[in-house]
Amino acid sequence: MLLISKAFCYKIYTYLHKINTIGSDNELTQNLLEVSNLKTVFPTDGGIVHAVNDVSFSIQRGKTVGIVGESGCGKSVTGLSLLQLVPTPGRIAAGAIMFYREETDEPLDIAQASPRSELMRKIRGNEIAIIFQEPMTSLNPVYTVGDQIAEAIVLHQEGKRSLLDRIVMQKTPKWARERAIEMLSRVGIPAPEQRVDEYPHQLSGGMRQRVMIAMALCCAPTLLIADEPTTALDVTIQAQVLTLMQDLQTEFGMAIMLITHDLGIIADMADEVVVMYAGRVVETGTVDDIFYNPLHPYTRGLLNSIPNLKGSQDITLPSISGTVPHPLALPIGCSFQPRCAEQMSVCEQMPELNIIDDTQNMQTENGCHAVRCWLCEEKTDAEIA
Amino acid sequence: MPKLLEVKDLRKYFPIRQGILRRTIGHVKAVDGLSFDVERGETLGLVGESGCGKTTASRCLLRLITPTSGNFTFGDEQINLAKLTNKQMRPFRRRIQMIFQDPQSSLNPRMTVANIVGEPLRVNRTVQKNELQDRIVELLESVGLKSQDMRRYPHAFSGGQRQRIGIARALALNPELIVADEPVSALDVSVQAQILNLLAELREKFQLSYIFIAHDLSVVRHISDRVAVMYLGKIVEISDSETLYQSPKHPYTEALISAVPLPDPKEQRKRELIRLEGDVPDPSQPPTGCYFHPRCRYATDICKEETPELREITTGVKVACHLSETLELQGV
Repeated sequence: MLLISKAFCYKIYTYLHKINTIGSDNELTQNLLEVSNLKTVFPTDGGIVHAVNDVSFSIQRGKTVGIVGESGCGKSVTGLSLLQLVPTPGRIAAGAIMFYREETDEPLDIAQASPRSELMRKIRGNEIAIIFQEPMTSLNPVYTVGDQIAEAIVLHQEGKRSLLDRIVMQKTPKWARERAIEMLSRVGIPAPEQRVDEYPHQLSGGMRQRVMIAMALCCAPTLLIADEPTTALDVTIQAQVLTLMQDLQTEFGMAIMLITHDLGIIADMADEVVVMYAGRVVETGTVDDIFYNPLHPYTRGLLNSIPNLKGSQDITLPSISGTVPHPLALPIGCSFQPRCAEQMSVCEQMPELNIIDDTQNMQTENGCHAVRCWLCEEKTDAEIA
Repeated sequence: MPKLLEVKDLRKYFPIRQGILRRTIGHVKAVDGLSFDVERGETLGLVGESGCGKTTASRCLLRLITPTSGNFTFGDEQINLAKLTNKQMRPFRRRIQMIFQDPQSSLNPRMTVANIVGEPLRVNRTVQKNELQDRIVELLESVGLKSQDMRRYPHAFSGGQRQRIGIARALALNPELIVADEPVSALDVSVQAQILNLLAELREKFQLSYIFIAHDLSVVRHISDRVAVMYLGKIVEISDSETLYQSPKHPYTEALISAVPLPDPKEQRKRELIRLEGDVPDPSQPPTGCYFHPRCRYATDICKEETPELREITTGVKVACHLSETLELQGV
């Protein structure tokens, strides 16, 4: 028992040490994960669906990257691809997911790893953890929450099981249970000693999501993927969970990839934002770039169409006409062009994701504002001229 | 002229039964003394967290369930609908219609759009058979669908379009009041804006009144003239939406507003955030005194003992809080 908690303390210590060294060595720009030209496809009867099409972005250590888009834009599949968890018949068709692990200096390409490999199992839940949208369906109703949290701890700290544990083959050894209780109290669940033996149905929605977070964080991952973590929750509970995630991020120094459709949450949490539409990245940049200098018509449309708590209320909301195209019948060229108010003839060719040099960009060290739109290409061309 | 809808002390208790004899051992007080009114042409927003009784209240108003006690009058007749039998209720049903949350499950997948929208017309025999087709087309066009869509089935439409079908069905009988229960919460942001605009447009065109139920405060603010905030089956604050968001008078309203992340990073970083502790209490065992006191950061001794009444503090602003005069609460 003692040994285990010592080992865990050491892990935490190395993390904290790492954060400090990152800060002191001026290596703030260190990437934890680099996704380049990722393509995830789903072969269907009607043809191949390109759920994620040529997506590139990077996540820095300890930072939060928000992925925003409407349903069906491929944001969840991107999250699942990072863990090689794409449901069959989907598969990663091309691209690289470079993951910089702490033990080795050489990055690991997750896109090349087999979904069932020992390596992926070691990474999942241990180095990259995920929280899903609906806490009720992602918790197993027939096990206590303590058992479910302890499962990850036991799996990833196999070497730390004592001989007795192995002989008895106890599902949840005492030391793992203690860790589960510790994690429950860490995520702000009152009376964790009692809650650890309760079943998911005995907890409220907010509590369940806290259990999910405890489960995800019990092995102190370097990257947490949060796929719509608060969509099923009420606003006040959502606020609690978001604050908790921010607190734990500063405590553990992990990076968060936050997938959501709610731009308010993005404004609250994210450092960098990736806007996706129909499987492609249409705009990326720092949170300030996206909110104060949106360049893609889709980003602008999204920002304008949310009703605000401030300002005048009587005007009709500017909405984006039409609906998201069917993934098997994407328009020619830019996928947004049929809905775009500023459509031109050139839009029938797919624009590239181009880096924009704007003034706000100068203030951030690593910020990289990139847009996939012909409007912006023109602008840069004009500026160069 | 009387108000379109006047609700007085509406209650709905669901019994909790247990044991072999199924004896009632307690009640879930889903709606616990609700009083409000809706003017003609007005939109009343109803907000609150899940389990606060918004949906139960709306179902009582439509008499889809019978309220335990209380009364509400509708229209010029001043008849108390809460006490009517199903048969007596029939002429009123066409005057109050509902739009449901989930456009996926509220449309019968085996009926064509023409059947779905035309069903209320056929049941109520409001139009002649030969005019039915024209009326359906007219309805579909008023919600932004095409006439050739009427032969298709719900699965062929996207979420936003399905919600439009649901709206067309609600409009079919020229209702005076439409109860919209979370009509946009299942939709994407860009489509949500389209539906909100459509609802606003139809309100002008057909002189409708809405009771707009939602949990999203920014959506409610956009569409409502007045807003009522519910907590555990009671209204804690009701006032016109501008006042409610600018200067809330109930600590719960303040916390709700504070919990909504603003889509503006700089503004959001500046905000002083109020984080409510804990969850909404069990409605079968509500706390003593003010239901909100265990989570309220301003709670005093009186809050634990006495239940505050909903009282008018300035014209049009009603609050159920002992301290509303002394508190300085922050709005948006």
